[in-house]
Amino acid sequence: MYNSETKEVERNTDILAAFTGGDPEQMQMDIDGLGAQGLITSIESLAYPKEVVQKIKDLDELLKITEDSEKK
Amino acid sequence: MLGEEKNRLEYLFQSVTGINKEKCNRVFEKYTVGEVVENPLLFEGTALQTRKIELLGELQTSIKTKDPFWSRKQICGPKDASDYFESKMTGLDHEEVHMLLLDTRHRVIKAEVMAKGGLASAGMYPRELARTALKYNASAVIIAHNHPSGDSKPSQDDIASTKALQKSFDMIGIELVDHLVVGGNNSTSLKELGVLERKEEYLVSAKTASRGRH
Repeated sequence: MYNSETKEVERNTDILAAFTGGDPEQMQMDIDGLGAQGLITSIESLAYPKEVVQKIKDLDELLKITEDSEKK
Repeated sequence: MLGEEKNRLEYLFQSVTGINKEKCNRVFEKYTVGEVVENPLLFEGTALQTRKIELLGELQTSIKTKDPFWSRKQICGPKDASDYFESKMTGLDHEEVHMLLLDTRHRVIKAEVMAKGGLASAGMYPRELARTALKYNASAVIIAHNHPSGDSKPSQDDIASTKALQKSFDMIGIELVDHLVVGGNNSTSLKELGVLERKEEYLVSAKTASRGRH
């Protein structure tokens, strides 16, 4: 079934793959099962190249800094 | 913002968006990163740079408000677990082993079918179960298998294998919360039978399951 959640998974996959250079097919499977935040949280235990893992960790830190800055 | 924090922000912004550090330096002299992500035009960059910042904001909003990670079901007790497993295993004419992978608050990370067997048995291999739990960074797991005969009473083998599984998971720091045997429309919790030695509560207070980023 193609619904809004599926679209969200595909959209987040596109963005994360564009920012990190990760394999979109693998990312879509993981985001489908774990959510985008789940993929970010579990990235070190998933089978991604180390460059992609580092980009995801940088992205996670940037999102946290952005969120903190919005609260101030 | 302190110089060290600003340097870190500039590094991260460059790493993620590819926008050069000097440009970031100038912009973050005037604006916070929150302001820039909320209004990418403040960056006064090229169309491509503006688009990248828009995507960053889109991702942030999606993760905060729509991501299934935050709305995952929490397993608060044997009834939650049995409801889940009975919905998946009742009526099967062969034996299967399922595993729910949980985070520290016993929210479901993922559900996996670990083995499918014949009429009488399906393999329950500690190494495979542990490997899957580690792959998804699970803090806790709940195992279930079904008896196609319809009798949910655990066998002596079920009891022995549960004790062995708990020891295996203990060694890698993952909590085996429960093992359920599904038979017909019923299930039996080996935790409730006292087979599992518990160090912690099965139940996780709903008060600890508040949403939000870690």
